[in-house]
Amino acid sequence: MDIETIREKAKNDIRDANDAQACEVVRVRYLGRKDGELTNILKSLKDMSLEEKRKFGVGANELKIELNELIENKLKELSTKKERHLDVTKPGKKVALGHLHPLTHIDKQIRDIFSSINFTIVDGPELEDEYHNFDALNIPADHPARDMWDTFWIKQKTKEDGNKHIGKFLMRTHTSPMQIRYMETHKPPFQILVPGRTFRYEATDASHEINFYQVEGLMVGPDVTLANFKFVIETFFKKFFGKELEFRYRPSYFPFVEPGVELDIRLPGGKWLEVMGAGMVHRNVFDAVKYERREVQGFAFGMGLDRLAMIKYGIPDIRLFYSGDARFTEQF
Amino acid sequence: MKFSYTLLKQFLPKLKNKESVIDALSMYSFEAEEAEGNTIEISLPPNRYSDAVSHVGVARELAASFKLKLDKRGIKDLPYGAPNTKPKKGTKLFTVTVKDKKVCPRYSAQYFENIKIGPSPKWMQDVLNECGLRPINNVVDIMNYVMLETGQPLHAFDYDKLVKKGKAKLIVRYASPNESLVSIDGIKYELTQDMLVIADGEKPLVIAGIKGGTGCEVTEHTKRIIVESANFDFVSILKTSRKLGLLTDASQRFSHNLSTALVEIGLNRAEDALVKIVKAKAGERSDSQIKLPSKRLVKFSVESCNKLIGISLTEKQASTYLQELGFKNLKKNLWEVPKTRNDIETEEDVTEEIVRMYGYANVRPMAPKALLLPPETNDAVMLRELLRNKLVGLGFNEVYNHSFISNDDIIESQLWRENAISLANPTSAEFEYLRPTLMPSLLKNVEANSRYFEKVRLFEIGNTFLNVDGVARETSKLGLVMSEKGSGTFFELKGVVMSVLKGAGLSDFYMKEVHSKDNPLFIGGYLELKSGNIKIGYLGVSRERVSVAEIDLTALLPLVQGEHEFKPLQKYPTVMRDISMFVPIDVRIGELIKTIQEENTKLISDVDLVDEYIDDKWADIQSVTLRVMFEAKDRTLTSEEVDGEMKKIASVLEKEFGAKLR
Repeated sequence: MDIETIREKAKNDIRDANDAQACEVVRVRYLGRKDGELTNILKSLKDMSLEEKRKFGVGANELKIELNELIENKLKELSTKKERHLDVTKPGKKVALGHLHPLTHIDKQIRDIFSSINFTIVDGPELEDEYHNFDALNIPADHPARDMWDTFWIKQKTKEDGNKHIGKFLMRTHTSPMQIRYMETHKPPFQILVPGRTFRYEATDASHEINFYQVEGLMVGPDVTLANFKFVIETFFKKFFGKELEFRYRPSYFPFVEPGVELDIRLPGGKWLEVMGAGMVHRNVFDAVKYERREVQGFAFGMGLDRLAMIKYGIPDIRLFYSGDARFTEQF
Repeated sequence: MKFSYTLLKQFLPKLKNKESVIDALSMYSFEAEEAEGNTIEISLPPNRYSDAVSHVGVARELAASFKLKLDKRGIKDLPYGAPNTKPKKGTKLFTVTVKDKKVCPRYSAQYFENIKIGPSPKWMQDVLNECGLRPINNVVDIMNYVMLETGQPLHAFDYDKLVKKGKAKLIVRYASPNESLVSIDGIKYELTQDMLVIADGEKPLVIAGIKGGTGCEVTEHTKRIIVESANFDFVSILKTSRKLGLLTDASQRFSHNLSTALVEIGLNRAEDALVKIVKAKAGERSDSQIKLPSKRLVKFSVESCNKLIGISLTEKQASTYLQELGFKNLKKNLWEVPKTRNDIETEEDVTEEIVRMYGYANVRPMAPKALLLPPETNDAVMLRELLRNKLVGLGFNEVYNHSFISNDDIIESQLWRENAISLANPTSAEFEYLRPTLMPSLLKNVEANSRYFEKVRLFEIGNTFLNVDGVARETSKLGLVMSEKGSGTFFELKGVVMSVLKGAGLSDFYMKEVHSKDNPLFIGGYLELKSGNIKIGYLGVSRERVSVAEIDLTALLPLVQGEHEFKPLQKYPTVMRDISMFVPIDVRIGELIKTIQEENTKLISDVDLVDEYIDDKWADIQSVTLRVMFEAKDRTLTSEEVDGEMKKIASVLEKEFGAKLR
């Protein structure tokens, strides 16, 4: 059978079809995968000579497209005839929207608040050296204060480009080394915020993980005071939790600040929660970055992002953050 | 560390109750917590052991915050700080030799006789129990009790066992090679030459400042004793204690830099107690440091305190706080530091004393003076945020994985095997290496999540680590994984990567096919993402049929252009033409598209794949239909013009790929 004959026959059949079912019968007759009349011609192409292939192939393929179009148009025509009211009560199509990790949400909220009061966001390396993580922060080797940070040490001897007194390598135990890195290359006045991943060598449980997130803050200028710290941090927490809350400052000890304080907050109807360590930058830290300590003073603070997220979202176990479980992410 | 409320009350009879003590300590001094019975759990900061690892020290803090007076009598029938035996350089009954004054700045010892070993009084046993110490006998209990009171660890030797070998000798020296010591509780410790010991003429009796051994210990038969009160270098004690894995009440104290002044205070108190409670007769005392240590002075002005904190105290207010804490004013702005306050060195240290006693709650929050300038932006942070938002819009869920992976993970991803960085002290084999890639963890996430989801689309942004020519390189990466039950996802992921890169502002990039049999992560080949000569990532299908992509954000950052530039909207119609062909099966569709585009870069705006078909019956050919889009900026293209272009395309494809047009 030649192509033109099929074309004529098929066109008639399509015209005569008067419902969707009849259309399908026609489609199968000509285009059915197993035994459609046109399909058979297309299949036979491979046994033909190249010249025949060219002759028949183009026409057959064009007809295939044409018939498909005609059937489709016919179907459209038929469906408009018996147009039903659109059933808007049918369920919506499921469109997948992804979810951000809760720590990403918290990180952004914190960054946004501090950015809005002119804190610059700074990034730092997670693989640190002993000098920046400890020595420059007034935590010398063999000092009992070092026991406050359980450290993951790096095995290989690695060198870093162009730095001198760096000591051994480690996974940073806090974001505080960025205080040093930033001050080494910048002059006050400034105020920075350093969010980032930190590491502690310890057994994991519901409230401890080997990696977690911290946010470090540092403000240095000619007359930055502890009273300024209280203003900045209380402003932040009120904005972050979106409600009035109580603050409690307790004396504390971190070798890189003097005086050092611990901050607790209490949400309406809740318990006191320890959220932050802070203090006035220690003179030895200013010495380490070659600032003239009589001319500058400033505050530094550090808080756990995971903990804030746990408080804000009511998450009971820190390990959920690092579980890779999409059912967890999808809640946020 | 456990403290006894009972003993604190001996020094401050006016204390109201345990709760108020815990509150006051927390708010004015250091962290204190409720514990059972009369016990209070106190976390001393490492710099406060010298003055406050003692009940008298904690009582001094409480006295200052409650405005109470410290009762120097302490226990009623045992006055605190009574006059005691004058020390001498040498004594008739025993000799003390200190080999290295640096590691043992002060060593004092005193002889006592007429000892009758028995149980200690109940009140003493109660206090010991409250502090977690087990009562043993009156002499040992007094050593411990005085340590609790004063903070100075003490040790008692049985004098008769020391004199058996001639004149009693106590030698402070480093351990000799191969020396060991068996502790009173029967554990043998191998000593090394950097460990300080107290020895007689022959062998070590005590690991200095850490633990007593068998040989000269006090037993129920003891009649005469020598009491040691000494000070050791904290670094030496800390190192020995760590090396032996031995943490004792004494080592904890000594490793935190105690004041040498405590040596005398402790021994005086021990003498009092032994005489009054055991009815011992006090004998000669020796001390390696007879000369009193010089006064420690510190400059302090209330102005600098006010400037640092942002308050306005008067000189008188500040002075009162300092005096309550035992500081002595020598002249204007010059103060003498209490003997045991090793932590006070600078003006800021003094400021802290004042402000904590003034109360942090009383410091009024004040807005800082700062310039009204917008903050500097951080491009790396912005890029990550932008990518995250785009991916979430495309249905990807974000995960965070650990920064460490296992040896097995490293072996499986052979690419990085040689250059992975490992931890010296991993917590477990699961977390031994710093991840050089986000992929191993993401692939595990896919597997785990497939139990709950038909479709899994995940991404992670995190830092990875690799040794490059001996230098540790830390790189920020974006990892993407996609899998769907019963269908392939690679081309969707490829589309996602392209959209996301474009969305991030990278206009100039391409993907190059890499054939790699030795890369076990992928099936067959994979695509390398490049911009110019810079590799920015890869894209492939894992053995588990998961589509994976990883993009190096550190490399990407300098390549993206944040600014968008307006181009006039297309005014003239786009003309579309399909071209269908048979080509040999090994022809890459990407190559066909590239060739067509290069045929006329001015007019051809895009080429897309419309249809491809491979029939099992065909030998080595595939059928491909491509759609070519033509556009001109300045005119409507005529159909002749486009036909001409299509002809050219057809002949190029025929020539280069042996394409047979259908």
